[in-house]
Amino acid sequence: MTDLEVILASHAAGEPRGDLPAGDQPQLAQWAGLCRAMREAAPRPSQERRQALQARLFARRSAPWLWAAPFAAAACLVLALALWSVWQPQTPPQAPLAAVNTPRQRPAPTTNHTVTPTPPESQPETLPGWLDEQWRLVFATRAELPEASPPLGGPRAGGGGTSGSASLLAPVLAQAPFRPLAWPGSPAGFALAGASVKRADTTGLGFDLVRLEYRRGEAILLVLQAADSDQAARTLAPPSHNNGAALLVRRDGVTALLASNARTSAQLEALAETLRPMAR
Amino acid sequence: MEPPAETAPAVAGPDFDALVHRVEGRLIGYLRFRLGSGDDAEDLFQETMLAAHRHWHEVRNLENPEAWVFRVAHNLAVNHGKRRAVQRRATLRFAAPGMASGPTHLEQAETGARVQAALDLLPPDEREAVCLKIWAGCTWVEIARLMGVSEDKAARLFARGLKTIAGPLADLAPGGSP
Repeated sequence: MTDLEVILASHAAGEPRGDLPAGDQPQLAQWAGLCRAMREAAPRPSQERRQALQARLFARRSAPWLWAAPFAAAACLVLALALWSVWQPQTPPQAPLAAVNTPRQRPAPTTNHTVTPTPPESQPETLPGWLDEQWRLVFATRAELPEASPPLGGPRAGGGGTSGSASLLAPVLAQAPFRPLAWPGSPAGFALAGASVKRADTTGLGFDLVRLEYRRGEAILLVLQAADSDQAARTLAPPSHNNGAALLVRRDGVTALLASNARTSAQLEALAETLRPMAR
Repeated sequence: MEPPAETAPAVAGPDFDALVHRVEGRLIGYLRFRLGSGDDAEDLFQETMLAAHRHWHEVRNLENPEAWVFRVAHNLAVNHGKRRAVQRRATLRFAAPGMASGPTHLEQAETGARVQAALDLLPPDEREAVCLKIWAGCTWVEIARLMGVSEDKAARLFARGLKTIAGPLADLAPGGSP
């Protein structure tokens, strides 16, 4: 290896070391061309190579945190269980509609007690099927009674007469599994239009019912009665769409629901005061 | 002529990506002909750049980060060569007679294969000098530092290697005999 060849090679490589004699240019061109050809024989930059590098870099960055993943998952699970256990007792029970309308106090057996319905916004809008039909029957129309109605109660005050009422009530008295409540005559402005005993299997409510229906024209007063129990009180509690014209009464071993499209709950409360257990 | 580099998704930041973009072509070429295997070159390229990423907080502040990258690549190539030598000896010891002892490079272009064959004729130091100069683009000073020799020695190793391979590869150069 001569010094000239070192100079030629350095010039061919692009970083000259020493001066080059003019006569050696053909060999320089050949070596320079060889260097260029060899450079071009190298693999090309590629997107796949860089993506592979990025993937390894990403894996390297992520790997130090992977050990914490199981602990994080366990911590989340514990936190979720803790929150669930804290909030679970405070969650309102998903009970049927009637449970929402449970009376606030259970009255003494012989004490008149009217139940104020719970605020409408807290009451569900669905009712058991048979009961829903009764609500639709009563509140399908809104009726008005004349202001000059006769005074409430009393055998001679009612418009329906006692003889008709007695004939309708007699089968009820015979079939009812409890002593139903009724007015000695008929309530003011109404006449007894129907009385029946509804068995639990026909209503689907879970208890037997006495159904008394009073009418005057389009005005309706419906009285549904059951043996006094929490289930009956919950089921018959006035729902939100009673328009302030329904009342639940628990007295003398009977739970009675009064609903009218022509009376307010205050008027129904006055009517309920005159209800008496029917003599068998 | 290198094709225009496409943008890869950034993981390590634009500075690191820019370094990858600058050194990729030279580094993969150096490793390819230094190691004699495209697959090994790809692996060591990844290893080199991962090392750069690991020490990026230091490398980014260097005056010449590319020199650092090629020094790492050179060291990795040296270690890789030692491992391959051990493997080759073991393979030769236990291989059946006539069994192929070297990798084939079917995936490589014909020119690359011929260049590789010519480089295989060189002693390791000359081959290293040629690879560092031709594909890594190192200066004589950088080659001397990497190989632990003087600049003059580095230039002489390169010149000797170039002269040796110029014969087998004469047809690649313009005006050369086929």
